[in-house]
Amino acid sequence: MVIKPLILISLTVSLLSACSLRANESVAALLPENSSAARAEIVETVSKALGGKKVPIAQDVFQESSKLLLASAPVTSPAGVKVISKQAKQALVFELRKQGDNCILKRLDTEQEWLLKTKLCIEK
Amino acid sequence: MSFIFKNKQSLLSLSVALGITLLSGCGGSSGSNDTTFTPPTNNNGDNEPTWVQDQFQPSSDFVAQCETPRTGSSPITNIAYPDKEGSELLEKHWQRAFNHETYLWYKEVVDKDPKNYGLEEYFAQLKTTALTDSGTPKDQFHWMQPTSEVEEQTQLGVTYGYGISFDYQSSTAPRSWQVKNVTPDTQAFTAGVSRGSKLLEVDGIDFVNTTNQSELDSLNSAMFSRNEGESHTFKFVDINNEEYEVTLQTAAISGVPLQLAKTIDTPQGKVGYLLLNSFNNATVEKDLFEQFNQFSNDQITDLVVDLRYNGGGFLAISSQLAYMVAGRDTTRNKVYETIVYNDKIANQVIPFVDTTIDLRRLIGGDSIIQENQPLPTLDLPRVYVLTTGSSCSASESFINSLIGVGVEVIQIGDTTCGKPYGFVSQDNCGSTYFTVQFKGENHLGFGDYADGLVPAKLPEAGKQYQVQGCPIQEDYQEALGDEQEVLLSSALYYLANNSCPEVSPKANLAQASSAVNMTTPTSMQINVEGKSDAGPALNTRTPLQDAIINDVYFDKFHHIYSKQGEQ
Repeated sequence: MVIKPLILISLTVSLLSACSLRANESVAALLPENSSAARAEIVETVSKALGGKKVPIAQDVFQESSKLLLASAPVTSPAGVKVISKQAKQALVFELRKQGDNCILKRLDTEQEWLLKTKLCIEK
Repeated sequence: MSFIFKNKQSLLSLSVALGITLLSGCGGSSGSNDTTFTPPTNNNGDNEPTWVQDQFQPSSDFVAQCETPRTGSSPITNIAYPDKEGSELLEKHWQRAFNHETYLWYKEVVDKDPKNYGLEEYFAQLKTTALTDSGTPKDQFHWMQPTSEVEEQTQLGVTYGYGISFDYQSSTAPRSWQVKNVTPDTQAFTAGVSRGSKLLEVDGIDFVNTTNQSELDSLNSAMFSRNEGESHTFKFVDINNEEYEVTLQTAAISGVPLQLAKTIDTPQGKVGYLLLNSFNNATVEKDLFEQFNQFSNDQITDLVVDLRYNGGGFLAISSQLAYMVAGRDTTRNKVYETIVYNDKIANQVIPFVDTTIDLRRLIGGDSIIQENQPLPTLDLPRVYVLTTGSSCSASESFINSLIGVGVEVIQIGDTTCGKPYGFVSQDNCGSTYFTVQFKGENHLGFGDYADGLVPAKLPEAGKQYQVQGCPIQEDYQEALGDEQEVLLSSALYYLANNSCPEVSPKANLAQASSAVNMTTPTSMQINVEGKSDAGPALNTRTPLQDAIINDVYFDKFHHIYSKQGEQ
């Protein structure tokens, strides 16, 4: 007879823990259309993450994919000939994630995370 | 195909492996003299190396021994710099050893004492002085630059600019820049900037005639701005001689690799046409897969592949395209391209890729297409390819690979840029080194087209770089994809008549500039009239300078020249 309430309590505790854990977990996220302010913040954050260098990032970043793939920009020889890779290699990847109400930018190779001011991101 | 790769993912693995193999090879440095040689030191007892002609130590003996060592980590890779205290002489000995190990033509380099040269000066002379058949230097791609400049990143397929591609016909006053193409879904596209228009003014400055230095600086700043949202006003005159003005903001422009595709009904049957501007995009695999399924459903009997502005990109995508054109029977057990190194490094074989590989997922992104699906094929014995001097690298590999397996390629347009070479760039002590390390050959072992693949009505025997076709200059008079457009219409004419059309006078208008482009240096600045060395002005390039050489990794980047791409 005592066992039943104990089971209920432990179940409740477990469920609450799970909920709590879930609330702290981040999930892949996207940006809606017309989120230019959010994009501007992402452009700035990525630039800071890469030592302040400007990084061309598409206007629709994170609108179709939660991952932003960066590659080394084409190099140009002194003679003016541009060089582009013939062979694909692993990209430097940033992912947009949502944790609770927060939007987070995560660099996947280093697992560094940046909390964004924007709250516009939506779960993928 | 299993003799080449166990599976398609191996192609990506190869990409990485190529670099690892090559760099391992560098450290190992085969060759009897190299491995048995004991490094001599000078009489000062300071462990500075002494040069002995034609005797080489492994580059690993000198690597990261720097006159000015870096500290900390790269902000891009987060990897700690390996630099330790050394000297400029040690850096030059590293250059010498590295070049001797990896340079494709290392046997043609005259070995000289590093002590007699500066750092850049020494590396600059570590190359062949041989000339091509046309008299141009065989090696035009040998240089070094600061690693900090070449580490910049970009979203794949995205560049700063306005979405306008120019033909830089004249770089001295009176200047002539003509619009070749406008990227869809850009401000320029929406504002109606049209193909064939010539640039007259920028922010009220006479673009054509100014020789004023401050105005040239302003032009430079406007044309190559990297500041998003910066507005500039451009005045053009279109092909109907009507002037118009647009105000555009600098933006991050997403390229459109597959810009046009359609099926054309002709008396000879249905003809597929596609305008493919780049292989350097992880999404184009899906676009091509869907388009070739469409072509297959349409039961096209001929295909025109428009690569006139395609500077190259991933070989895997180019290989898939070639496979979809040629089909299984033609490509079975045959090589798409062999990467040929110097005699110290084993060659690498690239197969015809016959299934989807989901390239975007392979490089770290979300899946865009289910992998391992058989690619649709057209099984064509003949294909028409439209080219200009901007058709480079993987575009040239596409043509050469198909020729190598017996597909008849009819090349319509201008000579391609001629870059069958490549390299794995390498950092040492904060400088990144570029030295030609390999060339690509087709199934028949041909890859010597340093002067480009040349369309010829009657190719000469033994000159494999001459490709059956029609040498015709594009004229920007018609829209891309228009059946009256000079290159496409010439392909359709050839298809109907098995011969080249007579070139109309208007088609010759662009010839002078392009002819010059093929023989002038590939880089120049807009300067005071006729004085190419008259100090800095507006950076520009000719159409040839859209050329993109074959590169294994594009790790490196020089932002100044990046401004010369799509505007």
